Amino acid sequence: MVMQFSVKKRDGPARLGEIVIADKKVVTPNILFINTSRFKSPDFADLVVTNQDIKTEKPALRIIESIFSPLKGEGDNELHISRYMTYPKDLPDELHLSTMKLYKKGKVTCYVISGNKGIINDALENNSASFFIVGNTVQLSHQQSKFVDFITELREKIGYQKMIYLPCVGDPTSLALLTYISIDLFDSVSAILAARMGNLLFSTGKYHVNDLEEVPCSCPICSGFEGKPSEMNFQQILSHNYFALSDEIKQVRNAICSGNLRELVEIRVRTDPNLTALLRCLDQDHYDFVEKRTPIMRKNRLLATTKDALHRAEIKRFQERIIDRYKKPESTKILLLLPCSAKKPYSFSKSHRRFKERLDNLRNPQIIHEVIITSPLGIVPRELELTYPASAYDIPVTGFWDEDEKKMIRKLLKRYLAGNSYEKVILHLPRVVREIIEGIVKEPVDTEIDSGPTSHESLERLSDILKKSTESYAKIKPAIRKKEDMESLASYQFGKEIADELLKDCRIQGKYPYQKIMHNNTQLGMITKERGLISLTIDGAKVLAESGKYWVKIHDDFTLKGSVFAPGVTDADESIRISDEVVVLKNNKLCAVGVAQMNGNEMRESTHGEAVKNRHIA
Amino acid sequence: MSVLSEFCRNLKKDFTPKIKDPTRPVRCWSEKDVLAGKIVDAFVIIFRTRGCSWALNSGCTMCGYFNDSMWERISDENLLKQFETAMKRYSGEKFVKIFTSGSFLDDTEIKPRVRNEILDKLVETADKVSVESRPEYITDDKLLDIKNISQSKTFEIGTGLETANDFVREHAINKGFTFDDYKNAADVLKKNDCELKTYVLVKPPFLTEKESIEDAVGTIEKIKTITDVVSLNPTNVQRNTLVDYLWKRKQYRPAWLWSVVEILKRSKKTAGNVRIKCDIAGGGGIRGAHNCRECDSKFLEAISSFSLHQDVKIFDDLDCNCYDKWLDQIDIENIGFGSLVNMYG
Repeated sequence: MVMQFSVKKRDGPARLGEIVIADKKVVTPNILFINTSRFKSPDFADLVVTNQDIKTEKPALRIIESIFSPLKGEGDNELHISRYMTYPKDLPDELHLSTMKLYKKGKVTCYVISGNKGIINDALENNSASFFIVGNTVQLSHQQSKFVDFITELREKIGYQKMIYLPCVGDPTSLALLTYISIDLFDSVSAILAARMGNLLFSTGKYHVNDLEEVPCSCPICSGFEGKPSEMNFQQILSHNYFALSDEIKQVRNAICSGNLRELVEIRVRTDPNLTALLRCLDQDHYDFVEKRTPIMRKNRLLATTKDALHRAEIKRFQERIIDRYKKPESTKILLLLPCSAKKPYSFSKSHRRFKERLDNLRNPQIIHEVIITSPLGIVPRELELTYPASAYDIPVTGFWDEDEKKMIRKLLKRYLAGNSYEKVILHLPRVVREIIEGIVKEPVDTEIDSGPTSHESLERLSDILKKSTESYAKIKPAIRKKEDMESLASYQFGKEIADELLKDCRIQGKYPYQKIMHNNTQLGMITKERGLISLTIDGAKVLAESGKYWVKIHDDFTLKGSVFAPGVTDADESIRISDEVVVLKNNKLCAVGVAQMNGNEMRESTHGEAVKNRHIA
Repeated sequence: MSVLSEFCRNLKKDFTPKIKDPTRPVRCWSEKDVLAGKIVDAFVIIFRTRGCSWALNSGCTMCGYFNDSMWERISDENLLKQFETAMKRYSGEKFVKIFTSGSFLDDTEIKPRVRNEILDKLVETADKVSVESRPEYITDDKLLDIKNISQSKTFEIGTGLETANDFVREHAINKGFTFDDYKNAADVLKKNDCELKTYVLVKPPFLTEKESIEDAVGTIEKIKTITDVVSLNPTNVQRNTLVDYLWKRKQYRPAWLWSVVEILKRSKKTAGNVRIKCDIAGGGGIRGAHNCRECDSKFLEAISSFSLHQDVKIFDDLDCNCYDKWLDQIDIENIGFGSLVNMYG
C-alpha cells in the first residue's frame, strides 16, 4: 500500500484528514508544493508534487508521463500517476468516454478524471483508486455551476474515504471555499503564475507589486525586504506567495478544527465574484450535499454577517423541520409573537426575562405559546430556543430588514400557521416586524408598541392584553404544558411519531433548562442547555430502537466498550447526522445509545474513526 | 469508425467550400528552396481538387486544407485549366512543388491521365518535382508511371507522417495510417529511386508543449535514416478542425517558437545528415506558432534561415523576456492535467 488516508475531523463537507505515504504522515487539506529543477519547493512544504526524477525527503506525488508521451517512465514504490489520459474539457462526453478504453484503471492508487460530470460513472467503474486528480480544473472553474455540480457529484460517488486533488485552482482566496466543498489537496501553481506576472498573493486577493506603496506583509521574505514592492524579484514574490498559501491552508485547517470554516468561507469569497458565485451555486443547488454533512448541533456561534449566511444548510434544515416535523404544544390556544434578543438562548436575555415575568403573572400562562420572529432563522418556538442554531446565532441588528429576509419570514410564518392553529394571535413586535407579517395573521391583537417592546408602557400593555385574552380559557396544569413542550422539542428532534411514543405516560422533572423525562420512576432522557437536544438513557433509547430510525448496526462479535468505531459498523440509518442521538444495535438488539460522530453514510463506508460516542451501554 | 474520427467528420458536416471556381488553382507563387545543395527559386502550385479522400471520410484533427477543396468531382479538363492558369506565372524555376490539399497520387483526386500530362509538361524545364501523398497511394505501379515520365529528374514525395508514435497518430491526430505503412511507402520510394520528404507535426492536440517537443525530436530520430528531408510543421489553427474547436474554447495553444527552435537544435545534433526544414504557416499570429509577439519575427527569420542553411548557430543570438514563461510552460504544464494548456497567453 503506497498510501493510506483517514478523515479525522469534519466541518460541513470539509474534512481534516491524514495521509500516510511511506510511513510519513501528512495532514490534509494541504498544498502539494511543486518541486522541479526549475521550482524548488519551500522548506516548510509538507508534501510535494514533481514531474521529474527528483528525490526528496518529503512525501511526494510523482507525475510520470501521460499516455501520449514517447518517454515511458515507471513509478514504483511511491505515490505516482503514469500513462494517464485526459482530453480537453470541452470535447463531447463521447470522446472523454472513449479514453476509458485506453487509460487503464487497473490497481492504481491515483487516477485523473477530466472535470466532466457525464463521465463520472464510467470513470469510477472498477476503479480502485483512492486519490482522484481532477483534470481541466481551470476550464471547469470558469463555469461556476458546472464546477460545483461536478465536484459534489464526484464526492458523492467516491464517498468519504477518498481524496480529491484539485490542481491549479487553489490560491489563498479560494482554499477555504474549495476545502468547504470537500477538496483535500491543492498545489502551488497559483503562486508561480502570480509571481511570473508580478502579483503578490494574499487571502484577500492579489496585488501587483507596482501598485503597492509598501510591502503589506510580515512573512520572512517581506519582513526581510527593504525597498519598494516594485523592486521585488520573481523569486522573492514567489517565496512570499508560498508563505501566503501555507498561511491560508493552516487557517483553513484551524477553522475545520474549531468548526467555523463556513464563517471563514463567507469572508474569503467576498474578495472574488467568481468565488461568491461558487458558494451561491453550492447553497442553492446542493442543499442535500451540504446538509447531510452538516452537524445537527455545534458549539460555535453561527455568525450571520453576510447575505450568504441566510442560505446555510443548518438554517434551511431548521426551517424545514419546523414545518415538517415540529408540532406546537397541544393545549396552547394563543400565539404570542415576540422579537428576538441578542443574547441566546432568548430566555437568558433581559428582554425575554421581562416578557416571562409578565407571562408568569397570569393566571393561566400555559395557554400561551411564545414564538420568536427572527432573522435568519425565521420563526423559533420557545421550546426550541436551546437547540442549535437557535441557541447560537448572531446577526447584525440595525432595524432594517432586507427583502429576502422579509420574504423568508412571511413564507415561513404562513406555512407554520397552516400546520399549527391558534384561536388568537397576539403581536408584541416592533413596528417594522409587524409590517413584515401584515396580512398573514388574521385579526391579530397588536400591542402596538412604538416605544420598544421592553418599555414599561408596552410591557404594561402586553400584560393587559394577555390578561384579557387568557381570561376565558380553562386553566391548564403546568405539568401538562411542560410535557407538551418536551414533546414539541422531541418532535423537532426525532419526528412526531417517536416524540409521541417517547413521551407517552411521562412526566417532566427538573428546573428549566435541565429537564428530565420520567416514566414512573425511570428516566428516559433529559435536555441540557449545552446540547439543546434530548439525550436518552438506555430506557429511552428503547423507543428509538423500535422506531426503525437513528440506528447503527454493529458486528455481532463486536464487544462494545467505549465508542463505536467505523470498522465495527455494518450498516447505519442514512438520515443520521453528526451530533444526532443514535441507538447502537447488535443482532438487532439495543446495546448502546450515544451521539453520532459521522453521518449515517460515512459510518457505513468508513474503515477509520469514531462513529458513535456512546453515552450508555446496555 | 472511432469516436475521434466521428467527431472530425461531424465538424465538416455543414461545410461548404467558399470558392467554387474549378478552373483556377488555390494559389501559386515562387519561393526560395534548396536544390542540390544550392538555394534556388522554387515554383509552388496548389491545385484545387475534390479534396483529400481521408478528409472527406473524417480527416485529421489539425488539418483544414480541405477548406480549399471543392468537395465535388472536378473534371480533368478543369484540372488542366488550373494547371494552364498556373503555368502562365511560371518562369522556368528548376524546382516545382505541387500541392493538392490531398494526395497527388490519389486517382480520385487527380486521374493518372491528368497527373501524367502535368508531369510531362513540368519535366521539360524542371530538375526536381515535388508532390505530396498519403502512403497508401505510393505504389510501385504509380511510381513506375511517374519515373517513365520524369526519367533522371528528381521526383520527391512529401508524406505526412506527423509522428513516429502510432498511439499519438491514432488518438491525437486521427491520421488513419501506421508507422509501418509509412515505412513500407518509404521502401517503395527508395526502390523506385524517388525521394522522401517527411512532414513532422509540432504540437498535435492533447499533447503538452513538452510532450510535443519530445515527440517531434523522437520522431526525427526514428526517421533520420528513412527520409531524405524532414519538414517540421508546427500546427496552425485551421478552420473547421478539432484544433480550431479547442482553440476557440481556449483549450489549445499553438506551439511556442522556442519549442520549434529547441526541436531543430536537438534534431540537428542527432540527425545531422538529414535536411530539416521548417515553414511556419501562420507563424507569429495567434493561430500559428508564436512566442510573445515581441520576438516572433526575429524567431521566424532565424527559422527560415536555418531551413535554407541548416546552421543552428543562427539560433544562438535569440533571446527574449518570454523565455522564462516558455520554460515554465515546459516545466509544469503536465502538473495541470489540462489546466495549464496556456499558462501565459
